[in-house]
Amino acid sequence: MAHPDPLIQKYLESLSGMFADEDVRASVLSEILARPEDVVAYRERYKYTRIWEDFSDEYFALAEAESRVSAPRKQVLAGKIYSTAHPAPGASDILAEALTRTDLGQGAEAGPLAELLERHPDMLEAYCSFPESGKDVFADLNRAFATPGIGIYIPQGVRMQQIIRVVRAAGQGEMMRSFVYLGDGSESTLWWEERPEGSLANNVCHAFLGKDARAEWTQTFCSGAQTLFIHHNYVRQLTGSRMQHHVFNVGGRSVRLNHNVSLSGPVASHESHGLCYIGDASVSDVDIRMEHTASDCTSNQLYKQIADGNSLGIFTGRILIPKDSQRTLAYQKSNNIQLDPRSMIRTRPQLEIYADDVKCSHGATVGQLDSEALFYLRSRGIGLQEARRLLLGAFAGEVFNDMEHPALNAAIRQYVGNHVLLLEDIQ
Amino acid sequence: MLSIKDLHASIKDTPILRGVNLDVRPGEVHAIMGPNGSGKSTLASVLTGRDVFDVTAGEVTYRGTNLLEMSPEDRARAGIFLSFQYPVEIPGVSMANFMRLSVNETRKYRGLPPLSPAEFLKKMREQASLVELDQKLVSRSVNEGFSGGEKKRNEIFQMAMLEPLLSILDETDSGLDIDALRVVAQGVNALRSPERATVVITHYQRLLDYIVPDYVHVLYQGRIVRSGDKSLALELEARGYDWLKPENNG
Repeated sequence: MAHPDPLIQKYLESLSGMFADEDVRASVLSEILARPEDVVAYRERYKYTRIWEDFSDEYFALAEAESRVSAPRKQVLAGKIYSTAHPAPGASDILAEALTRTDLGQGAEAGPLAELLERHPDMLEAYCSFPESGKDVFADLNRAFATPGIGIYIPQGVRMQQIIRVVRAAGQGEMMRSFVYLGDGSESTLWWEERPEGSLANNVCHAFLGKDARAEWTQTFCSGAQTLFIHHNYVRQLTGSRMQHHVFNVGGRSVRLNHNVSLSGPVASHESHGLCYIGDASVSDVDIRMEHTASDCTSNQLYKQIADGNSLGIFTGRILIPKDSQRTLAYQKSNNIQLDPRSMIRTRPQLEIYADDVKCSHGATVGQLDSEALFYLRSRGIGLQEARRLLLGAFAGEVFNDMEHPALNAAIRQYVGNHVLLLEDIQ
Repeated sequence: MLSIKDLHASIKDTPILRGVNLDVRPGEVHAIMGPNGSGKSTLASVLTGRDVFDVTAGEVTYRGTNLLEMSPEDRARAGIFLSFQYPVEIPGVSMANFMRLSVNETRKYRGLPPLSPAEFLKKMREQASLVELDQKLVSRSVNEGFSGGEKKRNEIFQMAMLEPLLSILDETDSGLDIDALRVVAQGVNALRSPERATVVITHYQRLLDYIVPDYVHVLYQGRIVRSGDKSLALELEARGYDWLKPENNG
């Protein structure tokens, strides 16, 4: 049956086409290749990680090879969905394989994205409201090859009491697109866990917050020692909506997160907090783009990196305030600790402000653990290792301060502490 | 208890201590006075193991063991306490967690079982009231947002919690008003016993009205140039330090 809205109908008809249809693939690829000037921008955006140098050839070879075969490479959607009062799920919690659509109660659903988009026109409409080009070569490649990932649908006005937890284990070469739809006035708490296992994954996750929607969205990344993991978030927020986003990167050879936020309606707010522990021989590269498209919005970035061994930690925080986005509040803080003299931190604030009536700030610190504080603790009988743990835990603790769901807060502290032994004492 | 023999210490090749000799026996209170830059705080730092100072000669024995070979944490566990001239603020580490770790590590070293949470809280409350430290401060991060006087009270509170054998008070009186000084001194005096010793580093005789020393030493250019009883402090107050400087004594 045809959908009354012709636009939506058009998308429904081409639904599979949204996900790596041959024509889409060909057109995206030609689009990328036809924009050599953008490659310069890509290079700039990825300049410190060498992801471009190390992997672009691999990607383009893949792109060329794939564009010659008619049947898209098969990608299997893997993952689990829990709805739970306690983030460490028990046997009685709703649990579903991501391949199966799951009823989360009150009309909320989780499951394969394509199926959810077909069932929920409001969700589809929101999905279509995201601009197609990510202005990012890896996001575009994802668009060219993507298959549908997980969808989460929270209808208008629904307040989810339970925590929705998604556990994903990305397969080799995976390029998936997931979508979290949070209807007007809804409230939800999500824990999205990525544990990529192959050598390469390049995923996109869209999140849409309708008017006055509130969401607490926590992402944890723990990838294998050989994984290059690229993840793109695209968040779009309407009037009065509020998101508290936390990201914890606790492992992996090379992790790149692009967190793109568009505050599209007035009085929307976005808190973006992150903590990265970068172990020996690893790279973490976090790139935030906070676009204050509407007036009277608030954003706050707080990113902390702990670099150990011979590691590289990169933070780029962009704040864009167009000239009509008056009365904007936008803050950014990047705090970094080097545990090893061989480690390197790069932190870049990028503020582009065209409006007059704004309050913006940015600040960055890079340093070692405070030797005076270490001595103070030791002079009270606390051993060196324990003292280091206390100070690192204190450093990390600030990231958790505005994580409001108490059970989630406790669970994530434990999760991070379990993965990063140095952080057992996050207070 | 503590025996310092011909102690030399320097920081980045600049000698600070140039042959300090001092013996402290249980039950005694020693005051170390001296002009700015004479090495008083360096002596406190070397005794507690701050690694920015290099000990270039001499020896320090604490209860029969070579103190200089011990880590700062082991010195603390063995009963040495330094009340810092400038207590460090440690945002994000709560006083309660800090003290619980500190007390239990010290107890472990002495072969005692850890305090139960209830015992620990009781002890915290008792000792905080001893130095009139606001209970609210105890629930905050270590020294964060404390006033100068509160930080010093907090040092004495920690001392009371840890029950050290040898307390070194490094200018605990600086920045204190008269009332705070009295409270801090009361705290110190409450802990005096025949087993415990105290070394008070100060610029002013005033503190010694409250914490009465058995011995007063004058440290000048890295050496103890004069020792005496409490009357020496009064004399210093009246005459200053100049008369003690070796160049003025021929």
